Amino acid sequence: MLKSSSSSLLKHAVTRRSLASINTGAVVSSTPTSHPLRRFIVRTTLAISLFYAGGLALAEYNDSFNDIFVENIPFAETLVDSFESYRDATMLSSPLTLEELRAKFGGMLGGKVTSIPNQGVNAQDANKEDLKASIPTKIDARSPLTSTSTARNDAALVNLSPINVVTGSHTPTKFAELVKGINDAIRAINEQKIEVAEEQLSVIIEAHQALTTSVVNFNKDIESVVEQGISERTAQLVSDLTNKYETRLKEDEANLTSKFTEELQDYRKGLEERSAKQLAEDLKANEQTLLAKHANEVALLSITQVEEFNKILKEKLDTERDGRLAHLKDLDSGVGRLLESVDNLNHILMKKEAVTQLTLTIEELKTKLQSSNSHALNIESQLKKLKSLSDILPGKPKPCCKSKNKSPALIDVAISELDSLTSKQEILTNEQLYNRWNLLGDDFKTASLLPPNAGILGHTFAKMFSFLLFTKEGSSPKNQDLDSVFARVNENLRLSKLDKAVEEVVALQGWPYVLCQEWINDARRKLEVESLVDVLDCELRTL
Amino acid sequence: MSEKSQAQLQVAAPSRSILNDKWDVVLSNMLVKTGLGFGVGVVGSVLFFKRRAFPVWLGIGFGLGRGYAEGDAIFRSAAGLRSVKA
Repeated sequence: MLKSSSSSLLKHAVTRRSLASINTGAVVSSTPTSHPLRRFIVRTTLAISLFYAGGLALAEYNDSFNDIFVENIPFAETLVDSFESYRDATMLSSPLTLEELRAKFGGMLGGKVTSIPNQGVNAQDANKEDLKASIPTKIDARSPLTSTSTARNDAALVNLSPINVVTGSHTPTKFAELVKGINDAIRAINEQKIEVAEEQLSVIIEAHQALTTSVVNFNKDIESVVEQGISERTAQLVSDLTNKYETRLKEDEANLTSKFTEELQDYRKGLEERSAKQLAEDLKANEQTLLAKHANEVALLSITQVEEFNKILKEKLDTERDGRLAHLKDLDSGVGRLLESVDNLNHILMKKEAVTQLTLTIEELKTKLQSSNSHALNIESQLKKLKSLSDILPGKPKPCCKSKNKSPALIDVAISELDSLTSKQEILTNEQLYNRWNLLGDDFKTASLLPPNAGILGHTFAKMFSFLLFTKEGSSPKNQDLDSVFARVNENLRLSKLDKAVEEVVALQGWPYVLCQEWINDARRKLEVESLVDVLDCELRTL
Repeated sequence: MSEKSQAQLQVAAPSRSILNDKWDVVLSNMLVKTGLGFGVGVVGSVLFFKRRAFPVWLGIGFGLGRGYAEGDAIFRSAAGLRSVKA
């Protein structure tokens, strides 16, 4: 039976080979024929496809290339649109699995089709027991196929299949080496292409099968042993680890407990110290606060007592004032009146004193003005005194009876005028004025002889004849000739009648007046000063 | 102080010097004019009259006359005189 099956397999293989060579057309010919047109078409098609595919791919990733590709390449727009519509359709369509489709359209699909033809093998979860059970079956099934022999009449070629053992992670390496050695021996036997008789081949195949079965069983046993050992070892290790963990846990617990106790002790000690310190500080602060409060209360009490004392004192004073000091206000008003009287008296006294001083100064001035010194008068000191006295003089009279304003007072005006007169020009004495008048005598005589509008001859003759004139002396009130006038003036000056002398001189005309003009000015200034002094004297008498 | 005040006093020309000043001006003017006439006479005498004496005296006379006229005018002028309308 095995032999027949192996021969049929051989035939089948030969048949498939021959069919495959026909279908593919890859028959190697000794003289290769060239097909330029077909090659050209194929290459062109490939090139165009490649060009469009590349363009499409680039156009999808680059917008600018997409524009160029769509606008310039024929059918490119259609291609891009169709690709995008296909892509959108695939992306938008819900990915329904076959099971979901079945669940959805179960009524239509399930009843009609039980199995899809040419479906292939469906993937299923492998069951270990089934797998283990299938291993010897597989070997059994494969062994008749693999141990094919090309049988001639009674001899067959020995071709043994190698032992295929599923090795796991627990399989020892020595077992794998053993299996590999057996497979090498089988391969060596196969390579020797030993031809044996049918009976011998069957014996060999049986022996091979027995070997394969024993190897598989050994594999199974060794796996079970390894698993058992692993489980035992694991259990032992787990128990050891548990024991170790428990001891370590206890040690750590004890260490931690002792450490925690120490830390707790330290923390308690620190806390106690801090609390004691805080307590002491608080006690000190409270003590200070209490002391301050006590001091404040004492101060408040003293203030209150002082206020009470002040109140009592005030009441006492009020009663005393109402009693013994009742006339204190009258006394105060009397003192006030006395003060006013003293003030008025002071005012009057000051005025009187100033008036007295002013009078004395005026008298002094008068004496100076009447003096007959040969030098000009200097009344600067008297003037200063007058100024200061007029400044401090209270109650100056009004300049006029009808004037409403008190200033400027007449005394002030007179003093300022006196000052302006004497500050820039000198005041001559009577003696000086008399002397200067006498010096004018010769020229006066000449001028008295000059005719009106005299020329050079008139002047010459007047000068000549002036030497022949007699000088008059004494007063002659009636005569108006120049000699009499000169004599009168001289007499008046000698008698200190300056005003009358000036009056006579001022009445002159022509050259005699021109000659006397300077003397007139000096005499007038002197007269003005005397008049001002008289005014001051009169004003002082009114005070 | 008094010296200072004295220095500050106005120094005016004395009125009686007016006549003397006029005399000074008149005499000096007469002298100058007479001198000019004398000079002109001398030159004229030398140049035109063979050094005779009369041109010199004539020049002096002219000068004196001119001086007198101007002096008379100076004295008659109203400079410094007060005109009083009686």
